Amino acid sequence: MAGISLRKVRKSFGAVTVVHDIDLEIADKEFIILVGPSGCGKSTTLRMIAGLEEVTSGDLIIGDTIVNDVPSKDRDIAMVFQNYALYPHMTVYKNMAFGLELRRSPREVIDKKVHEAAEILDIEHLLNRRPKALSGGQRQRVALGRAMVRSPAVFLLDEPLSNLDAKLRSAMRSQITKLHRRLDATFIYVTHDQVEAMTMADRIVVMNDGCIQQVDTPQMLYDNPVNMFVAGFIGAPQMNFLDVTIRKANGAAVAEFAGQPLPLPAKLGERIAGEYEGRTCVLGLRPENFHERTPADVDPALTAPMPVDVELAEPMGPEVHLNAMLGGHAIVAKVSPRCRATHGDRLTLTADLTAAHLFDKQTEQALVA
Amino acid sequence: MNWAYNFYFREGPGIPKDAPKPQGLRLLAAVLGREWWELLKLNLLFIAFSLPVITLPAAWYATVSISVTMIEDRNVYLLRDFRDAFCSRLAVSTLVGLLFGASGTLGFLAVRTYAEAAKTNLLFVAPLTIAVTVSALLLLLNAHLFVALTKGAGRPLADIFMASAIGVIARPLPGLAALFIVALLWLAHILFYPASVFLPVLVNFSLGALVTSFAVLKGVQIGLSYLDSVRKHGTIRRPKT
Repeated sequence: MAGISLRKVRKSFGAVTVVHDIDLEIADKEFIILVGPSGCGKSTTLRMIAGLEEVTSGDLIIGDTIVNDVPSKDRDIAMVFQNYALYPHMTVYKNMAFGLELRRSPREVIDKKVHEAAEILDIEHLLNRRPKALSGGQRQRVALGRAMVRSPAVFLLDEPLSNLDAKLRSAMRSQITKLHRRLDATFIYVTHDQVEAMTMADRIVVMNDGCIQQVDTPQMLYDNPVNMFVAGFIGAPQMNFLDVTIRKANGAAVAEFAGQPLPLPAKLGERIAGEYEGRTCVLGLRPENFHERTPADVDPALTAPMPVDVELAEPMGPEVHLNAMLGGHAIVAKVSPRCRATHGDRLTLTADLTAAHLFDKQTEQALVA
Repeated sequence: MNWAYNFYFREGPGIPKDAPKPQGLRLLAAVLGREWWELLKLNLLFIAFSLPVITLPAAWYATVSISVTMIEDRNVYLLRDFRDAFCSRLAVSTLVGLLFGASGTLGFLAVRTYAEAAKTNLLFVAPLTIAVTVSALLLLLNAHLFVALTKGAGRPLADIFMASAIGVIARPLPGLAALFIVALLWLAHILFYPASVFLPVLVNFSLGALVTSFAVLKGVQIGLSYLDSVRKHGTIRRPKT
């Protein structure tokens, strides 16, 4: 069993606290991803779990044991670093076998484990080569293999794909996901790339300023962000935020934007009707909630026409990202590749408000239905 | 210091999985390029293990064993594998070494005697030629024997001898070429002495072992597989050991 619990874990460097009393439960064999902008404390949290940083206060529990004072080597974990940290003078085989040799594992066991890991990672042909000859992706697989041969209960991966090009990163993403299924171990993965987080994780931990913002499955995070930070961080391009005023029209709450009433889903309207009436809130609309024309599967009563001034059209292949101005707000809309709008064009997009999010302007917390 | 960092940590070109394996001299060059540092260390190990003189054949066997591992692109833990090879075939390789030493000495004496005699009587050119040829074949057989000892682990000594002999007959030219290169290495040491004083310390033994192993490996494999094949079909009697 290798469930991990962080209870009120804090990390300070002198007077500066970089991780603020975080609580987190990681289930055994779970693939959990810590995501957040640079400096949010995700790597520090990982390094505390690894035993590379001391915990200032709180309890770090692996299995049933508090491991605050347990040395890294005794925690039954393996870590894969962003820069791979391979020994340049050793062959791939020796790099992978090194940890086991330090533990004085029998030669046959080392050989078997190295070859097994190499086979899984498809690097058997590299075993007698030195890292110098390997590409980034191959080095990354060696680093993974080095972690694998130790058969740890927990794998810690600190931005392992950051140094790879986009194509290789995509390939390695799926390889790591398959590896997790195959190894049946707990994976804790740190990244600032939300695409990695969304595609690989069982659950995502979104961090900012040393605090956990939200912990949930990727889809739940996307659909139900608890605050503006999570809403803005998860999703690419990020969610559009519009300042709106809550009004009542025909007995239902509407969000007034630039003098135009925008209908809100009934449940959301009921939740905010009394408390927020007349107050300014932030309306969150994802880029895919803007359309050139109303889709057939959307209730027309929950749509609103929005005239926008196109500033830039970015063709992405399957879609076009329109960077436009809407009532003084810069927005991004994902429209179909057939859209021929260019800089300076004015067109009217249909906003689908069924998936609209509302946030308190002051607290930035979501106003959940 | 960036160059040093880049030298070690710069991303390489990568090695395609399906890249064709180099053959022939390209393979030898690839092994040399990959293992040059290990070869230097291997040379020192050979010298260290040969110091008691009587252990010279076993040290040579260990050097050849490591060379074969390098040629076959398998991982080498130099000290550990050398020590293991040295100990595992200490007796057999010493016996082979002594046999070769004795026969080699006889061959050398024969060549020298007939060469002296040929100066005064041309009739002695015939036995001189035979003595030179037999000595060269003995040298070649010896080169095959040590590789056969490595590749034929667990086989009776008679099989090793037979496979080596078959190898000598099947592919004598690569072996002779390798011996020629080894001779050149030593000639370079002699000619350029004292500038070449470190040549034997650094590369002569390990490079010699690598080159000869590379040249005779295929012949030994042919010999061993021939023995296996004919034995499997019952057309040859198993030699008594």
